[in-house]
Amino acid sequence: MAQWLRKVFPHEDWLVILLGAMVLALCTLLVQPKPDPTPGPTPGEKPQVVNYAKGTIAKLEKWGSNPVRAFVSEDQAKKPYQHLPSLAVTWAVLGCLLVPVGLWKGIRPLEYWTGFLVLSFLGTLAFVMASQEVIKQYNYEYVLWALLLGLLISNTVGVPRSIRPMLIGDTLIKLGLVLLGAEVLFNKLVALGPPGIFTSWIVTPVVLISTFWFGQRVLKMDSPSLNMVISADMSVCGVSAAIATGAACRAKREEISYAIGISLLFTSLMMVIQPQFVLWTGMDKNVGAAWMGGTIDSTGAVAAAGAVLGEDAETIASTVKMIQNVLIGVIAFAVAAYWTMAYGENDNQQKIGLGEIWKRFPKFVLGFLAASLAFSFLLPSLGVSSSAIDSITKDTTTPLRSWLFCLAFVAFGLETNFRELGKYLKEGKPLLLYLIGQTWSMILSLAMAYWMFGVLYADRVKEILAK
Amino acid sequence: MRWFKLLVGCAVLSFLWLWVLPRIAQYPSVRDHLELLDRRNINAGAMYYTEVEEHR
Repeated sequence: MAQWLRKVFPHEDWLVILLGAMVLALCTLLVQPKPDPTPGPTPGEKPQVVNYAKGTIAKLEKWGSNPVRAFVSEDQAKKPYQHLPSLAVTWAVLGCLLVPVGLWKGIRPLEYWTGFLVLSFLGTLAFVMASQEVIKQYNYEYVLWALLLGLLISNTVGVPRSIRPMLIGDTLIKLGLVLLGAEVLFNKLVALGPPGIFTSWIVTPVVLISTFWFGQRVLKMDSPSLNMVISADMSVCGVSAAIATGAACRAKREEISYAIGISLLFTSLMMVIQPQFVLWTGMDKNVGAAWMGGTIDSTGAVAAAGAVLGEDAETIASTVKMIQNVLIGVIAFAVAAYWTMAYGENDNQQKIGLGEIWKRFPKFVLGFLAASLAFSFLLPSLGVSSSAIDSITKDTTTPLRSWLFCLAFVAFGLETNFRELGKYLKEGKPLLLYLIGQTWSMILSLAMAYWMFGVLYADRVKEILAK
Repeated sequence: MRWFKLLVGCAVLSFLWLWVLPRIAQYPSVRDHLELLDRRNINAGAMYYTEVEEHR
């Protein structure tokens, strides 16, 4: 079977793309217009849809002091542990979905299922840890706890040999990224008009390129891939950008983990300090919100920081961040293309041909981009409504890719030695790069936010908010 | 010794999550912020914009 699969899919990425496409197609088919005899939606009203897969993939609840509450939905408190069935279904769906990957890699059935159950159990624990209200409030995302649990086991009792074949973090990340592609919708770009696009799409690439250049030329960082992952997570959208660019430039798992660690640490600080700074200086709140949207790494943290300034500020901050989020597709593709040409596996001074470029290119990025284009343009042109696309992503693909990322980081933790991570902690350059890049990003973003939201389009923004 | 290290690690995590964090959540400033996020229905732990309710 393994031989046959490898013959059909000579590169693992093609199998990942096929699996991702199958999941997206199935999730799309399971969302149908609501069977209702009443007339269709009036103009401006979103058509109602039914998602037959809703609730299939487990999403744990926020809890305060009792972790069991993570499995109990508040509105149905009389029925205890009602997330347990969906948790069992989630494990079953993931287990079956990854079978072809296991076969392709030649993992024996016993090793596959043992490894999968260990990853799923630790992944569930990571989600429970991330659902604690204080942890959630400061945006310490599940990937951090997944990594920590993996590290705890691998650096104490070690990882049993029977589980090792299932440490397929890279593959899980690629599959998760293909699903993430469905969430990268280009129509979101126009949400705030020119001020949003200028603040997000001009400053972000400038900061990304200049920080990467600074890291290579001035700081002379040893690892260009670490430099790129830090530059991307700091300038684009934190963890998701680190995962996407890290996979695109084939960064080591310790590099992605380290970059995510720094990003989450500074995000939790900035989401507290930055809104207070805006209030203290008496800055225009719309300008301050756009500034926070452009600089705070993580999406949830931007919404939380914006909320401190008020409802309008929250809308501006999270919309600017959303527009920046969409950039992730273009950045991942550009990084993959640049890396293929600049940092090949057999570095030499000779020019490489198109065939070689194609051979080296990480193919899963094409799946990521294809999913984004399909959900942005193809499905709407085929009559799939925006509410159907919302439902597909919100209720199925988003929770599924979260699980894939979570299991991937458990696997990364299980494969990583503290000493490998400590190497990056001892060396000050990556941290310095982050600090300099973030300062640069804050200066440029503030200037652009002030120009766009405070001068050029100040009235237009107020009009949009009034609507 | 390896199993003891794991046990200590688990004990530290349990202490933090089951004792320290619930108490931090009771500080008035933290409570106020948590209630604000609840009122506005904000998922502060969102990784991507699709997890932010207002963009749906």
